[in-house]
Amino acid sequence: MSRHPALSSPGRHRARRGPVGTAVRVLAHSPVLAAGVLVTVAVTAAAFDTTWQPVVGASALEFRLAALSAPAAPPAPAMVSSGVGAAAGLQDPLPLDSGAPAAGVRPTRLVIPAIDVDVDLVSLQRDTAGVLLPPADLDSAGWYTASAVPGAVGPAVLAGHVDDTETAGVFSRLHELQPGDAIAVALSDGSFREYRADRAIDVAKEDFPTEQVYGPTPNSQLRLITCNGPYDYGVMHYSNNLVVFAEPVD
Amino acid sequence: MLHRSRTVRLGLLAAVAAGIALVPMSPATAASPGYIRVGHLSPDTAAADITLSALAGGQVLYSLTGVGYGGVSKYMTLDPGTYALAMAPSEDGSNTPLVNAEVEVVAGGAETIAAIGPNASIRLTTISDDLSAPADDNARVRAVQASTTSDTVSVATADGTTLLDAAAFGEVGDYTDVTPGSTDLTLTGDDGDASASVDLEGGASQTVFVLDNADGKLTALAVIDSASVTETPVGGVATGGGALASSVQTGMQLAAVGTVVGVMLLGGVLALALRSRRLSPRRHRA
Repeated sequence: MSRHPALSSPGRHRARRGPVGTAVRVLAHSPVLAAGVLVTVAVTAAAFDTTWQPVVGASALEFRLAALSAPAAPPAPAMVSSGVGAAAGLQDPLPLDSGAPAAGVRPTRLVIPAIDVDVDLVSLQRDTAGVLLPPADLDSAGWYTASAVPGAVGPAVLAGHVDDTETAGVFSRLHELQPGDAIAVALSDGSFREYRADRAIDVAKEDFPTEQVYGPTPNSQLRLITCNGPYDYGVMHYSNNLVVFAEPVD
Repeated sequence: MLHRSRTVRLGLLAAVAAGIALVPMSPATAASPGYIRVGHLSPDTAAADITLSALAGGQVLYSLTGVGYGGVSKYMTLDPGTYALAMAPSEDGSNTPLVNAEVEVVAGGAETIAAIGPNASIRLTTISDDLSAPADDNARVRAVQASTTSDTVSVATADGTTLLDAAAFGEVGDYTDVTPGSTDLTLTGDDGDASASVDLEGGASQTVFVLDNADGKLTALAVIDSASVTETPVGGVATGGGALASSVQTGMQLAAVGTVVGVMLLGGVLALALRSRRLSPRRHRA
């Protein structure tokens, strides 16, 4: 996840439970283990010729001191190890932080500095025949609501017009994008997700590469879709779609 | 059609030494990349630093610091080839590796390299991940037995679909297509059942790791392997009306398109050589 400097929100902080905290937690759940720690601490204290001696029934603070004094608090017997990188005992797994936006967060704005795009995003749906409907407005780009939210695993699909019959549209310069060009999407939670253009395909609509564009991805990716020539004056539409694929900036 | 650019990351030792993020750089080539993600699933092992380096030259390509128990990274995109994965305690002053391994990256492939087991016998295991989409907007899910406190573990969804059946430590269940939505998994270990709520997303594949919590009870960690668009649109998108279309002959337009594609191809070689990607040196878990 990346955040646009101008729109950054305070970084999330995660309370890190260090070995001491873990030790105290484990001790709180395990009188036997606690006794073991006390014994070990006593030995350790003796080894360092200190006068401080923990006693059975020591307070939580003393447990904390004990854990601090002992270089490596012994874990439960089944978990005895060489100690390389060992924790004080079993830990709770950290909650998964996938970097994905929270449920309900939506993309709101698209910024592509290289081609002077900075537009609000509308929502796009399919029609009854299953065809993705473009934005009603020539100047708008839209996010397909059944695609991934930028930042979540999967392809986030954005589409915009290249033009209408009279004027240029929001994606009229999409073909100018170069691999590496920055693309940022603002989300309704205030964060920005950043991507870099990776490749583009110019493909006949009838041969639209559905799997490439809409198929599964192992990370958060972006697809920008617009029309491209040749223009078929018979049906008043461009024959091709230009699809830009963008990779996340980690 | 343009080809996806691959990445070969260069000279990062100085940046790594300074604790700064990594800067991949890349000439473009034609082959597809592969994907590797790493996980710390050893319940009594403290936070660790994980590095992925080129086998030849030893350049560090990705560096994750302070990965705690339960941390699973995002997929890292890599050129096909062999890499060295090393995991060491994050603790200051520690330079004793916990585990390391050589990792083979295959074009289009995806693997999870997880450190599992109790600290005393911690080891890396390689799990092949399926990135294909489930059929018909189903959710696809599998479970992995990584609990160190139960000899065998069974996992079933709320509607009775079995994901693991008396699985031994390290066993990887088959992907199974299920109805999307939230479900309570029943985790059955040596000491009885535990329940874990997971959200099974339509169009996505997920892996559920069965783990231990601080009390030695079973718990589950669900990560997304891949996701696709649900309600896949049919065909292309009508996003042009023709104002920018030249009324001159089609051949010139085709030539113009060809030029655009050609320029972008060239650009792929040049621009991606300058492309930078950062993996933050701060705590990175995905």
